[in-house]
Amino acid sequence: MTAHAPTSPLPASNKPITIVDSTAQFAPSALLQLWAYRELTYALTVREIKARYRQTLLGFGWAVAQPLAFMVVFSLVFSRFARLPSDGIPYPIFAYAALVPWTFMSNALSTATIGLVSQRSVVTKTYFPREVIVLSQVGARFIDFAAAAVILGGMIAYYTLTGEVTPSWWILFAPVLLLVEIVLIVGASLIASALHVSFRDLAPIVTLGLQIWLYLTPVSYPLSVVPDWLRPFYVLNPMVGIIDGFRSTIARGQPPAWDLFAISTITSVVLLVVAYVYFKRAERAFADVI
Amino acid sequence: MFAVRFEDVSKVYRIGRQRHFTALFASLAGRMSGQASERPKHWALEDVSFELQEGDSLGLVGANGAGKTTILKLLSRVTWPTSGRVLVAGKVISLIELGAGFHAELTGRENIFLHGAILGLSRTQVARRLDEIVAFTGIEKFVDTPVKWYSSGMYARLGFGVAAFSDPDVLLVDEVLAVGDTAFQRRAIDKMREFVRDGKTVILVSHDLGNVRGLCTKVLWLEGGRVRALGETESVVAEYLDDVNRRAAAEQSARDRTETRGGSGDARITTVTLLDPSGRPTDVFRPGEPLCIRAGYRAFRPLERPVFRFGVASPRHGVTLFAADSRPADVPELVADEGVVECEFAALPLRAGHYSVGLSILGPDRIALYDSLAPAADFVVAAGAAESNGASADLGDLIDVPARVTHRAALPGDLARP
Repeated sequence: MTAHAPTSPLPASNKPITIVDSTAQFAPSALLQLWAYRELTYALTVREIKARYRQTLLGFGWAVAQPLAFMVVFSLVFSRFARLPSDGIPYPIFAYAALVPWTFMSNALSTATIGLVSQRSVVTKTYFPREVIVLSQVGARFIDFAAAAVILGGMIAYYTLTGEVTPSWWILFAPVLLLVEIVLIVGASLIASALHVSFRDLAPIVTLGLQIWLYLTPVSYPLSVVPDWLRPFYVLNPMVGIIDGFRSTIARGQPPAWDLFAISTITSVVLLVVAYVYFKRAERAFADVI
Repeated sequence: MFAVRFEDVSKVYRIGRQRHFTALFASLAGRMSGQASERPKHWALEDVSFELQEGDSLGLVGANGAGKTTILKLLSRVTWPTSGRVLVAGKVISLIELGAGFHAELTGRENIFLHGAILGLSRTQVARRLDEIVAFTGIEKFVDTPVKWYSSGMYARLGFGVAAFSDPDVLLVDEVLAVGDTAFQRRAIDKMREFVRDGKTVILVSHDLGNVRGLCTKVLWLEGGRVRALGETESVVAEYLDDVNRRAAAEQSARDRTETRGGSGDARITTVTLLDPSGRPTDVFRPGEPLCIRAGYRAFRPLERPVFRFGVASPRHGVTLFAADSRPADVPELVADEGVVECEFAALPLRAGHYSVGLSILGPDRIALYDSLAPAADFVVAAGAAESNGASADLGDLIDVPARVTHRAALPGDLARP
């Protein structure tokens, strides 16, 4: 066998030739690759959901139970005990309209963070773009979100009938907010899961961070109670624009606060781009250190 | 046509402590100041180059940690080289661990689709071959049972089935055949032969040299991450076996030497040397070669016509295979001080393997035992030219007795029952 110079010409073959070498660069072709693995993303998403709810009595009901339970507790504690204002709409719909997107983000980020490590046996055995794992974890939580959103629809219908809520066409803007939220979740999950491969401290840090983040986001309380002097810093949290936007467009029938929406969108998009480039650079070492 | 090429491929792993969060800041600081990490390095592969054509089947042999699995991991793009590059034509499917992607809660059928997706197949591709896969793996009855209730054999069969029907151009197999039963192993090997016949490329890691011999046209012998030998299966396997046996013999003799001394001590065997036909000391023999054992001894009192006994044993089986005693005429009437005895076994009827020599010095009645030493020396019979009968060494038998098998058409009388 002769030694080959690194630049030796490609050998002749009627099949596509894959080159595995030491250069780790983000290439735009990564997106094409990801597209080629869309079926796997789908299969892993389905697997996540099936495996999570199979053999449970409540089954898919668990996807709804979490935001619903929080809504009940929040209604009791913040509305009845603390008498927190709720922007002139009933507190249950006020809280639930925020809890559904919040639970989506919170659950998706916490499961996706440990996603690569929990799929260790696959990561160390076969090749596929690793972001597929992160996307499937987020995807599975998106299905949970959709189930919880159905209940949200029911609540809006109910409160519309009682006259306590007046929806408007702004509700059609909610999918745009959802898109921004998904961009944010995927970006945060890519970074967190890639770091978690090497630094396992990240899992408890994310758990703790999410609990604190919940209180720094207007989920249980309205944005209006935030003091003016704090507001410029407070709104830098990209979840503020998303959660407040959901509540405005769905429960209050009003447009989102555009300045907050702009902050959330820009932050989320920048985060996703940075996260994806970082993830693709870190990806090669996953199997070696995981 | 071209299938696989390694071009001066090296792979370095950093070994040592697991990293903690503080290491993140340390590595950031190190990167900024241009300092490299100080964790020790391990060269899993060093300047490995080889090329395979379609229809080649390559066996990877070598001790644990020699780099065999790293080669498969590079080919399946699970890990990347530190330097050099790997070129592969077409689709690579890896059987590195059967069923790695299975989920215990999902049924066999669901896992077939999932595993197919992990291997890069579309749903329709899997659906088309579902019946074939199920039939090949023999799990028809359990296809809708969660795989957590499968036996490990069924698990492995399912994993192999999906991979085997995923239409790979290059198939990587790592020691996975050890799990299934014999019937399945045979089916799996037949399937791999079929691949090779169809012009696909198979790369097999196995410690079972029988499988390597039966399946591979070429063998790559790795040692400490480097290519020790690469070539035709028979010659590389023989070379490799020689080496393994020699090491085993050396280890064995180091382990055994101390505790096996017996006898009254009136005489002691002092040196034992094994000689090849030309009289040179050696510990490797070929089947059918003569074995000469030369022993030096010292008698601590005058001994009347002692008997020297030479035996050849298989340490693995703990049995003496054959032995020879000195006849009275071979030895002086009275021996004292030092002397040398030699025993030559004319032709070793042994198959390739690891053997030991035992020696003892007895009284003329062959009851009194002055000294015994076993094993006194070790030697290896290397795979040689064709055996004198048709049996293959894989049978695990030890003695090669010349035999001739004949065949003729049956005559009417032969089949009549008495």
